[in-house]
Amino acid sequence: MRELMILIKYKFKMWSEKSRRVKSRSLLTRKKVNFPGWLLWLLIGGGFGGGFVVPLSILMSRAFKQLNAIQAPGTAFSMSEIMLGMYGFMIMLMLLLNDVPSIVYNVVSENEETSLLFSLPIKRSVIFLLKVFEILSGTSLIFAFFLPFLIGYAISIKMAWYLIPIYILDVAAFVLLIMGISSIIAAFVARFMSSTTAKRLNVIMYTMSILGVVAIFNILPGKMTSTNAAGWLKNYIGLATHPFLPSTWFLGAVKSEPRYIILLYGICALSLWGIWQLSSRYSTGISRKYKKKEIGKVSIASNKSLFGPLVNKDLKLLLREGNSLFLFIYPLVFPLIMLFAGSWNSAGVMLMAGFLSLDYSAVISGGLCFFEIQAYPTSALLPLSKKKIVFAKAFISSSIYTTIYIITILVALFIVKSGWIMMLTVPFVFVALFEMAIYGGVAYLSSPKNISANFQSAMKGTNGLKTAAIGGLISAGIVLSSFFGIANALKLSMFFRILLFPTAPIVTIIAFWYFLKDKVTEEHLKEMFEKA
Amino acid sequence: MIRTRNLTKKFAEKIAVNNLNLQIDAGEIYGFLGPNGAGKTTTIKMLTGILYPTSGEISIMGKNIRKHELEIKRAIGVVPDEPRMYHDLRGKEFVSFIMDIYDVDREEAKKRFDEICDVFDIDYLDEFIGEYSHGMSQKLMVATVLMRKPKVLFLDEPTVGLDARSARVLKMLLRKYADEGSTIFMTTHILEIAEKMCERIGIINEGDLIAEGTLDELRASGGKGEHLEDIFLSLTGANDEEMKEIVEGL
Repeated sequence: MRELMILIKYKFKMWSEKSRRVKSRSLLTRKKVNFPGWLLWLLIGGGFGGGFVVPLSILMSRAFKQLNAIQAPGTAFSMSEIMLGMYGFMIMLMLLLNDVPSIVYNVVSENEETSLLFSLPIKRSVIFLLKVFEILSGTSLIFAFFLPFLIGYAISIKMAWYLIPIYILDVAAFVLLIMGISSIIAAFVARFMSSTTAKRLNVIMYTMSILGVVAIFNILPGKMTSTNAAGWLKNYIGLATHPFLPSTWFLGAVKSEPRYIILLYGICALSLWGIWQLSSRYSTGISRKYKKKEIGKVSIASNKSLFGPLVNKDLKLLLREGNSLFLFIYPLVFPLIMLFAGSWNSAGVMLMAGFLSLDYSAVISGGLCFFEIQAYPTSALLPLSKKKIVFAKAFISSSIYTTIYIITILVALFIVKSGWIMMLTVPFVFVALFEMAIYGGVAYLSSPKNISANFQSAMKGTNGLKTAAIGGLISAGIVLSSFFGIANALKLSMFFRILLFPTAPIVTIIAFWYFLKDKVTEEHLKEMFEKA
Repeated sequence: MIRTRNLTKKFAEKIAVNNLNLQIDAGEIYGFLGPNGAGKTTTIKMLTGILYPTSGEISIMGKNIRKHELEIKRAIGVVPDEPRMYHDLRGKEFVSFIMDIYDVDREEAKKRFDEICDVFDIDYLDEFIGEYSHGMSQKLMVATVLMRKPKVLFLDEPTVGLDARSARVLKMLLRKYADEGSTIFMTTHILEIAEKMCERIGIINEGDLIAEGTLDELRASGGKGEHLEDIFLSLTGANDEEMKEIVEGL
């Protein structure tokens, strides 16, 4: 236990040191920041609790109160408990989907940290438990987003104070049970899954969870506070009360039903025993499974195509990067959710679609530059100019987001039945996306080493703020001005229409290029590569 | 084949390479030695077009690297000190990418590549590079360079991570390529390799080329001892007695 506490202590130290390092190099203009790690965690926790958990818990408690009095047909549960059961089911699903690949990648597969830990005089079970603790911390964000629902329920039924510790225990048992099930599934899955697949799946699942959380927070509160909340919930009674689901055991335990208490705690204990068994036999090594092929039998297909080997290679890397899934889906899905929910009009949707596309175009391009730095100095030895390397990435990024922008217009057209004329903005948007992608590449290359350590990290801190600000300005300069210039919504004179479209987009594009041109000379880019 | 004139590289106030003058001919294996941080890798980076020199000139195959950078990069082969590649590409995809980027005769390169894979036991091309060990990456890197049979080869610590058999094969291949007219510029900390393989040796220390020539010429320029290791240590200022004293004290 002492060893585990020491390792956890250093883990926290590393996490807080890392975030302080990043901040001190970027946002805080390289000033040394001297505040203790625990204070940082306290501030984060306080901010999250005060800004998110408390207000949403109050809102949710009101919604739960409305449902408390309504009995779910054919069950011993009220509709508010059905709601809680549904949340439990969603937490379970998300944690399982996240934890399994995460355990395979971070715990079972070999990596630098586990190799080092195995060389130290530390028990195998302690190393395993440390890694499980890390996974729990990683997925705690998903759990944290559901805290308001758990607290809201407790407030709504005016839970007695002496029942609160039992309620917390139920929640803990539920989470541990899922962790145990995930570990056992992961130990089995690791036999078939390579560490690369696990890594990719890990990021994809995390992305899906974030999208899930966004969707849930945009849809469920509205449904819950609607007058027909009970009618809507009736469709999910079967799912929320299915006797084989751990989420139902949790719900039953909260209701103090003996059979569910036995099931929840009994199977939780069993799964903890399973974790202990796994931990005492813990070893890594799934990353060295090779399908040996007879030499000479491996076909080396040519990459030559319309766009050439460089673009092909970049596309392959991009599509294999788990983070890119989120970056592709979000600019498309988010504005459309708002449009479906009726929260925004077409101008708002197009502005947001433009802004997100511009922002993510820079992120993708910067991320693609990360692959070049990952392969440095090999990438620097290729007979290619640095300009070509950066422009190929900008081409890929701008093409993808132009396509997404067109799809957004088409879907918006399908819903609101007007605005096809926005298609006229596509060429301007393509050029702006291309420029933005170049900016993203250059911004990544000029980032300090410690904040450019992975695909998405270039756009954090100062770079992220600058990119968002530029993306917002260009989006307004092209998309919004075009919208008002060509749409009939404003009764503008022809002079103002021409001024807004196409003059505003052209001026925006030229102004941005003027800002960029000195940054994309071969000499400057080469210097950036050297520094990166 | 390789010429430098007053080659200098400064990083802020630090002079990494100071007025380096080299002349290496076709068919020669040149060993470039020096203690850690002496300027070996910086020199290779400048010679291969990765870094711009602060001052001085480089000419490879008679062409100035500033003016003909891409042309030279296409013609030379470089095995860097760290075999870093794109982690999310499979080995075979990386090989194909290199073939296309260098625009080599695919049939000929593939034939040569298969032969190299055979001698290096490279049978993992279907796997992602991110899952390779250092030795596996090093072998793939060496194979993708040698399959092009470049006229000038730069190798920075090429045997690090290679097993004994692969290291032996690499040494034999380099000898063969040199005999066929290729120029080979290599750095190594394994002085036995340099002693056996290299026709001439250059020793760099704190950015300065302090000695250059055959073993006899190195001895004549102040190096003491029979073997290259002794000569190297005496030229770079390492005191044998002092080292013995430290070791005994440990």
